[in-house]
Amino acid sequence: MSLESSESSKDQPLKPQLENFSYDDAIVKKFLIMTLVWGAVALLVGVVIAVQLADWRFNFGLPWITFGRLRPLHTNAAIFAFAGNAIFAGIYYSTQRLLKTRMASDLLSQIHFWGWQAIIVAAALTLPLGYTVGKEYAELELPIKLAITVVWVVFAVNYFKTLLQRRERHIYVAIWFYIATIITVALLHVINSINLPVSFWKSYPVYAGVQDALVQWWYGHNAVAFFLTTPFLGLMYYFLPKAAGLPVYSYRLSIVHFWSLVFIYIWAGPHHLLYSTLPEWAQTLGMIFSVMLWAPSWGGMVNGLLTLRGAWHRVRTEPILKFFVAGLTFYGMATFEGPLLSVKSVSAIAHYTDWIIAHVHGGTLGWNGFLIFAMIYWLVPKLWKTELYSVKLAHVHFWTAFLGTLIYTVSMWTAGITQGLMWRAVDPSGHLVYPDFIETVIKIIPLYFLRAIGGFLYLGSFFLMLYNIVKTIAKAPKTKAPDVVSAYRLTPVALSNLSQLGDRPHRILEGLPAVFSVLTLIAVIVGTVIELIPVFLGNQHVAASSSLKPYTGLELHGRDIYVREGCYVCHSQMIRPILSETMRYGEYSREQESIYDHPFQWGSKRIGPDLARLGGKYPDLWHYRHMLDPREVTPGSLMPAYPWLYRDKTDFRAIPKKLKVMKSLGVPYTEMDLAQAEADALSHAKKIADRLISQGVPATVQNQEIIALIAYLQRLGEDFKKGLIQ
Amino acid sequence: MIQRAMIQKVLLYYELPVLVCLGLLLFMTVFIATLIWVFRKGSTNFYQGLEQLPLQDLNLLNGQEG
Repeated sequence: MSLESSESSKDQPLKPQLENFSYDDAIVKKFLIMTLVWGAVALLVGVVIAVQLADWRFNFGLPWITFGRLRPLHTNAAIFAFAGNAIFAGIYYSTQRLLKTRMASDLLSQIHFWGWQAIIVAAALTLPLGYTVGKEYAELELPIKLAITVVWVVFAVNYFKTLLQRRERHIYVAIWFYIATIITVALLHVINSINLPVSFWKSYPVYAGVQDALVQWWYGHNAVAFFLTTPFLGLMYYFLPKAAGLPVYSYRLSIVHFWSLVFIYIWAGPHHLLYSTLPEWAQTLGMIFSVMLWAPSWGGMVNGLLTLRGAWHRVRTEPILKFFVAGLTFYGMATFEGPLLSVKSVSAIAHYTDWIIAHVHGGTLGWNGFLIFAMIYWLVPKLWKTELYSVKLAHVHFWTAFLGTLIYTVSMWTAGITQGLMWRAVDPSGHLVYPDFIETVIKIIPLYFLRAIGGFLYLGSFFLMLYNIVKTIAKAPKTKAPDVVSAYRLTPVALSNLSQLGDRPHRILEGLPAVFSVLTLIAVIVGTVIELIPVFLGNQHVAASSSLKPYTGLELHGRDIYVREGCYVCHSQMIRPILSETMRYGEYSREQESIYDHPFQWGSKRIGPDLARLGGKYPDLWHYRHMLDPREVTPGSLMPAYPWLYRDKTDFRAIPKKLKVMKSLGVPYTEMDLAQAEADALSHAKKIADRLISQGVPATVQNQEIIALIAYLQRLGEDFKKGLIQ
Repeated sequence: MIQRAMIQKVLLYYELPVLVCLGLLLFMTVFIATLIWVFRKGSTNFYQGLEQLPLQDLNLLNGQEG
């Protein structure tokens, strides 16, 4: 970093100093290149899992690439690797230019970059190995979570230091969105990551049951809000005017929609838990604020689209503007659909179905993906000081990706509505029209093939872009020295003399990032406190019957296998108080049933049936055969086989430590339970094994992992059956 | 025991409209305050200046265009 004053004098009064410096574009290039790399990985894994749902044989009988283990890899890669690197590339580029300063510390920038890539690699290795907490978009185990915290703090420190040394007093609205992202993501991550370790790669959340569900979806929805929306809106507010050569349509609108968005979004989490055992008032709050969220979201969309007023004719010829317009339109669609899905009566049909998948991918492929592509096509020629290799190829990319996104979303809308209606279909005699869940699965498999085709098109178009970008960079001139620019250093203003900043109070707010950051933090904390605290307080009054026993050691170990294999990705454990649902699965779920569940496993998707009342429904031998070859007991099933459960042994010595950690989390194990944990688990396993062996199963089954999993599955819903739940 | 059961029922099953009203009131306060803020007298020119910030690239000293 070079910083030279062109004039200075100790005896003269302070006057603006013109300083020469250069932007750190090397870090932008690094993040941009990794965006392309991880984008390819994320999309490729997405296509693989789409194909696995269309044809189960693509699980190949291998533990590391089953759908249950790859789906979290796909979501983490798409959100944190692909979108994450893109966000950082855009933030580093735009922030330096909007603040007219280089990043405060090149070293911190490098630590941020390399730290983030190391985290991604760690995720890519650990998730297929089954090291997972079992909570969506927060699967990564404790050591990686700690690394994320460190790297995020590094990023935040570098960012706020850059703000302090800026040469532009006014903070453009894009920076507001970045600050909101940095502050809120930190809050979300820390609160949802409070886990106690059992071993280096295994931990349990401190929350359980309904509390865990609320914290998880407070986090989960706001990961969408403050990782996939606010930074992208910030990027839009910078890169769209740059690409169009026009200022944003209404700066006033950007301020109003910013504060509305930041305040409202944090309340929306409970819309993932409608008809669950979450308290009714919390569901209502989530629903109301989710519907309200429509307005500020469309404020952003309208502001972006109307920025192109007078330049619409250019959308026809410029692929960058095409991507921006389509991206903003998909944003508008997703943010209309989201509030709609948050209404309880719509959620009653849509929840657990592929409609939600359509909604997510309309947003991620359409809004996030297209905005990233627009940014890349604009940034690469600028950074490498050349022209784009082929504008025509960029047009082909656009139309192919657009077609792929349409095929994806339309097929999933169709699948979702089909599922939802089939699940709730009741004939005039009061019976389920489709009593076998598998009927509803087989019906939509053609749509799974169509979805995979949509994914292929999107992936293929991504490789077109990759080729275009590689060729662009290859023909770029080999420049050595970075560009040098000059700007005046800001003159310091005492806090007592803020009127120097201007004769209007709003210049004070927009000139003081600390004040702004605190107000943003307050805005997100308000919703957090009002929603979370009463639920946590209410949990103290949930009467757990003294007869209600926690999981046995073997059942707990089986539960950990369930989490490891990602069973929650396809199966829910939350029966809603909806007639057709209780007809299919049994009594609706009660809060006490998951009171000891660290983590909760309510699930958010039913590719397979709900399992909340599975216990005792089938004999042990059925489960033994089902996990070995699902199609033997359920013809037409999409479920992968799990042959390694019949090969790998349960580590009984690890069970006492698990119970000990659970006890410290408040699960009422006694000292005797802990002392006899290993022996009890062995005895429990022997009972199940003896039953199976008497029915012809090989005697080697005794200590196999399948026994532990059977123990857990047979426990589901049993407490309710025995009358231990009020 | 009865008191505990009553508290449980309230916190689990009732709508608690006071919390919904509180949330709406807080939001409307923020929203109206923001509207007043952005439409204060004399803010038009200021915001017109801010709109131009992304379009104001610094001049390069080494002669190449940004």
